[in-house]
Amino acid sequence: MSLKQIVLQKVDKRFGDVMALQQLSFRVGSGRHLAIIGSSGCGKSTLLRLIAGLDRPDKGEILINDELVSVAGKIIRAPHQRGVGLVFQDLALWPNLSVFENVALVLAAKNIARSELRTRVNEALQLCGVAALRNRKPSEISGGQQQRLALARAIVSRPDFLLLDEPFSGLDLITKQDLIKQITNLAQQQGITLVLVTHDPFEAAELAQDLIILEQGGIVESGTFDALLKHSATPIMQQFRRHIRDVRGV
Amino acid sequence: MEFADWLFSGDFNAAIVRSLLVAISVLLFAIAIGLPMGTATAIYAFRGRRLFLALLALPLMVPSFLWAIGLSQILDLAHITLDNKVLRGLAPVYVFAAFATPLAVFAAFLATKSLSGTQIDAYRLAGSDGWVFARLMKRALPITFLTTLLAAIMTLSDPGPGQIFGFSGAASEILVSFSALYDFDLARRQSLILALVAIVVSLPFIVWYGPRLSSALLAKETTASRLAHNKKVRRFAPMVYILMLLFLLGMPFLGLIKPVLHGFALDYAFHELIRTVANTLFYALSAGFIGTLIAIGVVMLFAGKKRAILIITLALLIMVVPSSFLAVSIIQLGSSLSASWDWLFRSRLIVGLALGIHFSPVAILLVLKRYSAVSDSWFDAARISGVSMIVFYWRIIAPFLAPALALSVLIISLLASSEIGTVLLLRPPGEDSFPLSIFTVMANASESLVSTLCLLYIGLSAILLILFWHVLVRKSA
Repeated sequence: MSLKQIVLQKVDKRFGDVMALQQLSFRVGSGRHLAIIGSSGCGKSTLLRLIAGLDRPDKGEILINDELVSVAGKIIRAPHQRGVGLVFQDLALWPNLSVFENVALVLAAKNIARSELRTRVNEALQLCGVAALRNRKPSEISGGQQQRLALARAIVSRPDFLLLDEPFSGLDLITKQDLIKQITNLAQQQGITLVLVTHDPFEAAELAQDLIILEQGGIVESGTFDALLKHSATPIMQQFRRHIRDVRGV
Repeated sequence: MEFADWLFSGDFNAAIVRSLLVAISVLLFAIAIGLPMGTATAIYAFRGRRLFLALLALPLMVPSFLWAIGLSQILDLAHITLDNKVLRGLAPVYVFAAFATPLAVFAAFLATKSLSGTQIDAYRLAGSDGWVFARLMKRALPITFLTTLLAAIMTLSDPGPGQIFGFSGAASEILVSFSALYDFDLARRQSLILALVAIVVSLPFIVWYGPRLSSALLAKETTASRLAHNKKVRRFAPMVYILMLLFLLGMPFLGLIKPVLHGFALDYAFHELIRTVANTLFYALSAGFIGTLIAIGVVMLFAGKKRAILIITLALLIMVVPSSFLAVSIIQLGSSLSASWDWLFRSRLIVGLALGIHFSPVAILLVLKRYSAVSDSWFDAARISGVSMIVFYWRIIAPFLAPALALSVLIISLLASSEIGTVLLLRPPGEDSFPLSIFTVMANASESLVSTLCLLYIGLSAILLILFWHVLVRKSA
């Protein structure tokens, strides 16, 4: 039986003269949630796009569940065949479809029987707390509800891995906490492994056990969140450590 | 003196210069009036603001020669004869200004409206009302200039007013070569020269201002600014609008009223309308659909924001090519092909095709604007969800573009319905449109009949405009 894991081996990605990612290698194992943090433009979103199969690596290999899905210059497994769901940074909700249709279209593409489709869509909307809004358009619901809808769309196909590209940006603290709780519960219930990309160590601390710190396209440090919180020499984690100490001091 | 003699000679090059002088005068007049009015309308509140804007759209829906007929009636009434060559040139300037000034107003209005509320607030924090107004006018100038330039260039290929006032411009010369002298080769050469002149004159401005138009067109839609209140503007703007509407539209309209004071020739007018309504609708709608299809093709083919400037430049270049050149080229192509192509080249569809190509830039700009709002991540979301591209385009992109497509069909149809040059050159025998039938009978029919026909046309356009305005107001509410 194959292990549920994502493995990157010496992956490079370049955009023109800019080296977005270089010699990137890591593994995300089943049930261990990973956060990738780093400043803007360090290659975080590019990394998610490579895992999702939306871009191809220039060098290296990507394996999902022990199967080779991308090699240098080539996508072997199409994005929808990888067992990953992705919540986009801008959510990418289709504006002219209702909440229900936004989620249903994902399953419609998989030739699922109509009754089962309806059941699964309703289930996903229920899990994400937007079932009551099923007939509304994305523009007619709040930012937090849109975020939940994007989440419902990403999990409805029951992926093994859920990739989250800065999913909490622009949300108020209470909504953010609600959503984090919801994602954690979802991941637990559905056995989904999370890969979160963020520039905020607070979000990472809430959702992930493992952490990768990315700078200029390369991994600077990696390990468990607790270990890095204690020993990391990176400015972002030092700042985070200082902040926690100050708050506890109060 | 020698130049003056040459300028009013029968030489075609002189006719081009005469037409260019008219176009430049129209351009200057329209910008001088349209830029401040459009800018003020975009940022200040005053009574009747929306209604004035709607009324300004009327001249765009009516062929220019109808206003020329009205103006010539008023001149008759005032016993003013156009025996002076300069006066004869000023009359078309007046008529074309009624078409170009509203466009300048709309361009300045939209260019200013493309600024977000906070951007305008930032201007307001930096200086006085007058300073803000001057800055906003300066900002709107490139797009207003480019739009008005295109309108001015389009006057080069409109023979209507010139025919009525006895002003022989380039378009009139081409019409005479084709329809009176039956010298197709001459008409072709003249059309080619006119097209080259139009391109050479407008190309530097298109290259210069095209990127500005591109960035304004592709700017993200932002929250509109709140309208400001200014005592002077509130008091004077409605008066300026009323004066402008009276001057540009009211006078020719009164001229059309005069001959029908003793009775309408309604029977004949309705007979003509019924005889030509099917053709008019066919030409207009086929042009609308063809122009929109061309736009979809161009935008999809060259999709991508980096190529937007290329698309816009292409659209503007198509727009400046005189319609007579396109029509004459189609005639030449049709005559060089075998008879098996007659189903197209001798049909009404060829008129729709020519008009569709000519007005396709309007659709290209509208579709491009809407398509630029499509996020790349929508495609990515479809890919990761396994939604096929056919389903994606059918379920997501097509409905998203639908409002822009409907609007472009509507606008092109309205513009095409009032075009006479292309219809005159390409229509199958006897298949006149309504405006062409007015243009054809105006020389020989009674004043009363011509005026009735013109008023009927304006009345129908006004009804369409009111319906359109009603829908827009309801939608914005």
